[in-house]
Amino acid sequence: MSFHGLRGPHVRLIAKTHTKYSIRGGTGLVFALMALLTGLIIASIFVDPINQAKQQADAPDDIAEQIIQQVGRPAIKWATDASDTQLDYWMDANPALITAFMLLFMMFLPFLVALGASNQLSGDIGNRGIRYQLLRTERANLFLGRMVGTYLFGLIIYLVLFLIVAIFFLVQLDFYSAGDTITWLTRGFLAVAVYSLPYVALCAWISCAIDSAFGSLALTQLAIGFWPLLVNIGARQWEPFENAGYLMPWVYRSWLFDPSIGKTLAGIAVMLAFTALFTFLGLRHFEKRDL
Amino acid sequence: MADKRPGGLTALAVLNFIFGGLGLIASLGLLALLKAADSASNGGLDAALQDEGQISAGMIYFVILLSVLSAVLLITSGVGYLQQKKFLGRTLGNGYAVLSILSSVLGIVLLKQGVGIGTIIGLIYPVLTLALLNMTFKDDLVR
Repeated sequence: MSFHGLRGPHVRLIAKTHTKYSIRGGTGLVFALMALLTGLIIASIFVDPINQAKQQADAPDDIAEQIIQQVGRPAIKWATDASDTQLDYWMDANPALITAFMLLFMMFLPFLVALGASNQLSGDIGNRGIRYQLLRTERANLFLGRMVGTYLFGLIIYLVLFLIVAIFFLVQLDFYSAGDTITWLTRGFLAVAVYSLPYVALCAWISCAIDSAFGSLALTQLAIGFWPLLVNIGARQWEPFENAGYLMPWVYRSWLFDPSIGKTLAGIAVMLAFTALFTFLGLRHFEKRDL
Repeated sequence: MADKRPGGLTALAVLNFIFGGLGLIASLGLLALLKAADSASNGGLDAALQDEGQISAGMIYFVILLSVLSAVLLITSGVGYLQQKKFLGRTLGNGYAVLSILSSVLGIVLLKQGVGIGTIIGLIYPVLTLALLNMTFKDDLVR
């Protein structure tokens, strides 16, 4: 199938406007606030106990390292099902506290993305406002423009969050070297940027299919959370069902932090493939549906 | 631009009511707790606090007063956002943001709290409010 009337300048203009005015809509504001608060609360879960232990103990660095290895390592192994090689890379070769922050943030990320991306089109479809825009541009431009705009707005918010965390680690905690902190947080930001892509596309697809903004939000949250939960419960009854998890991007998220370059690139390729699939399905539905 | 209220301004008003209500409950709860501790120790709270951390009960009451004032400003400015009023919305909203940032700084200086991630979390909403009121919604609060 061909996407009739797809034009680069139209997509760019819609994306730019959507990014600029995202915060004026309630969804953008709530997403920005929730993303920043969630990220900082996650950071404080790991940083505050270490910070307190450092202040109280005689050998601050040793006690902090002890807590990380005795509590952090098993917790991360449980949460991510990582191999020993991955754990060594995350906890020994790189700043362990930043690893813990990024891995936990990645667990919440799909739900945060849905909060900001679930109303790309549904509200305007519901109130028929989209008909006015369709007088000036084609459906494909509107779909892709808003999807790109939503993604860029999300990236700006994640960048602000990572900058705050970086400044806090460098100035206040002073636990890792500046080079290690910046390099590892940059890798984390890039992983977040890649990992959020398929979920923005999934939200775009659901959003163009549902006429209510709240309905779209509820369905996207359900779609994102239901599959991993179902796989988890199913795998307890019948172990091979665990492989069904590979049908969604969720399982591949730790690949983006893998020590092997090949697996990291494979993780990126998988995320891009999911994005292409969801975008195609969304565009196809939006081109055909009654507005 | 002031004709139709943007969704973000409505969301901001709702958040103001939530944070303002929670702030009032927390401040009044803390006040009640301090009063109870003071009467249980036969008025020895101030001396106990001085021994423990070189802070006085007066300083704590002052910070609680600022918190109550912030919560009241949050709620009244929330009403102002809904009605798109210049004074009730924009001026009082800015007042809340400045007061809230000031009380965070005072908390660090007077109560000798360290600058932790909790402090930054407490600053996010006031800073966001300042930015939104003076840039994004500047032309929407003019009535």
